[in-house]
Amino acid sequence: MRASTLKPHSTLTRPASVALGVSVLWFSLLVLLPLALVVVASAEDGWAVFWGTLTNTQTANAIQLTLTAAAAATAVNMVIGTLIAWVLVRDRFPGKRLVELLIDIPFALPSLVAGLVLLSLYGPNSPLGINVLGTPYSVFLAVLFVTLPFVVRTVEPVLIELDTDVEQAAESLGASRVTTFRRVVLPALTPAIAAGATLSFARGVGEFGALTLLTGNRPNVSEGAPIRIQSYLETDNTAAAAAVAVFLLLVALTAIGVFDVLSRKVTRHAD
Amino acid sequence: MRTRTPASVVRIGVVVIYLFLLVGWPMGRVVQETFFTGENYLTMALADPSLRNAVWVTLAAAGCAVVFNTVLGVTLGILLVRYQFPGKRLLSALADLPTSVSPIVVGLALLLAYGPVHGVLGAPLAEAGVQLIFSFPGIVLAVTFVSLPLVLRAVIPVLQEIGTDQETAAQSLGASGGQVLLRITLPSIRWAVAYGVVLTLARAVGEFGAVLVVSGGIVNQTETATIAVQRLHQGFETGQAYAIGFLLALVAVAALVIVTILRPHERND
Amino acid sequence: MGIEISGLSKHYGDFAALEDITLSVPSGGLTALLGPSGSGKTTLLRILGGQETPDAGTVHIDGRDVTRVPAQQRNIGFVFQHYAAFKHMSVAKNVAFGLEIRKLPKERIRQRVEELLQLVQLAQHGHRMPSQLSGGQRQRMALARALAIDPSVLLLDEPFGALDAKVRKELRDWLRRLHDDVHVTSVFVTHDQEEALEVADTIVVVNEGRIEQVGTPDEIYDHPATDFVFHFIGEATRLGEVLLRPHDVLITAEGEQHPVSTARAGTISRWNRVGFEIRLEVTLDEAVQQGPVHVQLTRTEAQGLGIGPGDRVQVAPHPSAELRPAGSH
Repeated sequence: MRASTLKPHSTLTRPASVALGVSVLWFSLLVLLPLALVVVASAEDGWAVFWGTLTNTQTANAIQLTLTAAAAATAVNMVIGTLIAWVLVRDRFPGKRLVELLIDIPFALPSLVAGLVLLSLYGPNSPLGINVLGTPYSVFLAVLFVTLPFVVRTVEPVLIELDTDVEQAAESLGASRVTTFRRVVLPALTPAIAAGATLSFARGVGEFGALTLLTGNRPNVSEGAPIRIQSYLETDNTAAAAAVAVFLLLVALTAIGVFDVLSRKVTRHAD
Repeated sequence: MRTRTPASVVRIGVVVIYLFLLVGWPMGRVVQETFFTGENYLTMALADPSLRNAVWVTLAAAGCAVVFNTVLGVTLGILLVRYQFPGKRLLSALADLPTSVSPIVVGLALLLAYGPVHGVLGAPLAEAGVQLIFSFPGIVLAVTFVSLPLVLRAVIPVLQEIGTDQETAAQSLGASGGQVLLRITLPSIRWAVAYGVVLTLARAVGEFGAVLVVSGGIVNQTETATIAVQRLHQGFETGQAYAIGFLLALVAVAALVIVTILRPHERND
Repeated sequence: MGIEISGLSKHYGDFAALEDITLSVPSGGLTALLGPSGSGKTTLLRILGGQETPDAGTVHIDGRDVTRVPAQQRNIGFVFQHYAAFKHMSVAKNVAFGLEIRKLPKERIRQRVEELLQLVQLAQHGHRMPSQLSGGQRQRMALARALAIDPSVLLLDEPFGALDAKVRKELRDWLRRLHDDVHVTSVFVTHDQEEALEVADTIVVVNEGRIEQVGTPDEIYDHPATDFVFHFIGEATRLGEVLLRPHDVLITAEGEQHPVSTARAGTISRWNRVGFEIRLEVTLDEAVQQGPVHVQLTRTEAQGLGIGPGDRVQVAPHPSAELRPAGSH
């Protein structure tokens, strides 16, 4: 143990304590208190009402659709996202910068506009003759769009760190390219893929804006859970809205927890 | 890797086609719908005072969010990286919460806290004559909430990377805590802050769900650009909906381009 | 005057970084704190600089008790291993920093910065950014920055540690010459004994939070006070009952008259040429020790003695060699 390698952290000075106090207060008023009130509102009318809301046919269908669409889109992202990351890191081709830009567009594009944009190609006036409006596929498509960058951007740095030396070593030991990928590359990427998938799933479950215009919001068919919250709000049924919201919140929190664990695994791997 | 194998051609092909179908072509269609379907809908939309108002409301709210979140992000970033205090890990984890919560849940949460009728804090405030929800401050709350951790997350890795050597050196040269902050720490993280600000701005401008719940969406007053897109689309003014959509997409792409320009700065500094 | 350290202790949890250190650093000298990693030398330096506070003991600089004085008010120049350059400021701005903090008149600052850049041979580089300088140049800039405030003491933490071998050597010579001109009381931390022997007026050998020996480079090298110092400064080998420096082994070919009558016979079992130097091993005939005896010669000496790999030889300690009793096997 060397003194110079000890953490530089110091205990709070007086101005730092004040800054911390003000920051935490602001954060609590803006974020923690309102979110806590959602939990309170969902429990206000008792467990039976809470459970009744979630098992109401239309709500249950909405939740099921959202979870299925998010899971399906995440599964696609795990494969195509890894492939995109691979191409970005290992291949050179003209227009690569444009591809980089396209990948990040879903991060920056307002999600409502994302729905509008997709509607122009996959809506009633589709030049391809594909119309997802009012079908369950619309939810899948919306989620697929908004979650595109997650797996790509978590896998990319790991792939850059991963030395091609290791692969060449494996190949020099007689492993085929497929074996090398399966036994050497994939295990190194797995934590990153899983972390990206978690983020993608959490985002997919909560997606609201992109669904608004693209899905048509047909009850029991193309209505996602976040849209269901909105319709409860429009009918002033706050408790029911809060019940569904708490469910989504739990999913988000679980995802954060899992992501936290996985990203620490990724960092350890990088060491 | 420089040589192009058949496998790499297939890989690149799959990726390019996928991205073209999912992102590229739809984005192109917006341009087409805005400019090449008979009218120049962009000029038309911008001539509409209610839409111009919506754009201003959006920009003003986003500006407020940038100010709040920059102050909070830089403060909290320095506290989390440079100091040791109980509950630090929890605070760091909770700070990410706002980006993981569904926007519609954010709207609901703010309504429950600050709504003028049922809001726990909102009702007493309304009695005192302060209305946050269904007015401009509500929009600010919503967009600040959803973009909260972006500056913080941009600043933290840079603070960690630059370490404390420069700060210690400045101290040994006689600089006080405030002088170290103003002359060393803040200038060292300025590109990261700029990066976070651009992301915050883009996120705040594009927010829809949370704003929809808390703004009331009153045309000419509390209607933001995204809410206007929805109104226009539902009112079958598709061309103008696409025009505003085009504007928002332009902001998004501009943000991405600026961010790519800022990124290398961070490393070279 | 100079630095007076008395009864200094510092613990990190159970780990004692420094234990009851008492030391007097003379004014105007260049003192090396030498020790292995984890010996506490850096902690000691950081306490002098005010970056750490001791658990017990006092530090006086030029007669003033600074034990609880914050770093800002100590007027100490500190040079860091990794330069700690202010990356967003030009070289001149870096050097001017301490003076601007002290609110000196602009013109005065400009003159002083020019002077210092001249002193550290960076006069042409004032407008550059630190990222445009080499490692050696950056360290010279850091030195100018520390000297700018006319510090009562200059502290350097492994100042050459991040540089490559050749630059390190140049910068060492340069620092030695600079110190001869500037005469500011300086303390530098190093784990490199060669660096300490070459640059310092006084060496303080630190180990496991304690001071092993204080002395001039010659005293430390020729008369190590403890086994630790003997082993840490330079190489050591065993010959029968004693430990000594490999170049203090007197060797002759078999059949020649050995100047020491108690010389032991053996065979050269290993012969290694490293540049101008020969490092060889002699396996003794008698089983008085486990390993071979290590011997260091110059090439010229080896040629003069007429010995080579595999030859029969006699070895004994040089009569003037510093010997230490060897422990058990």
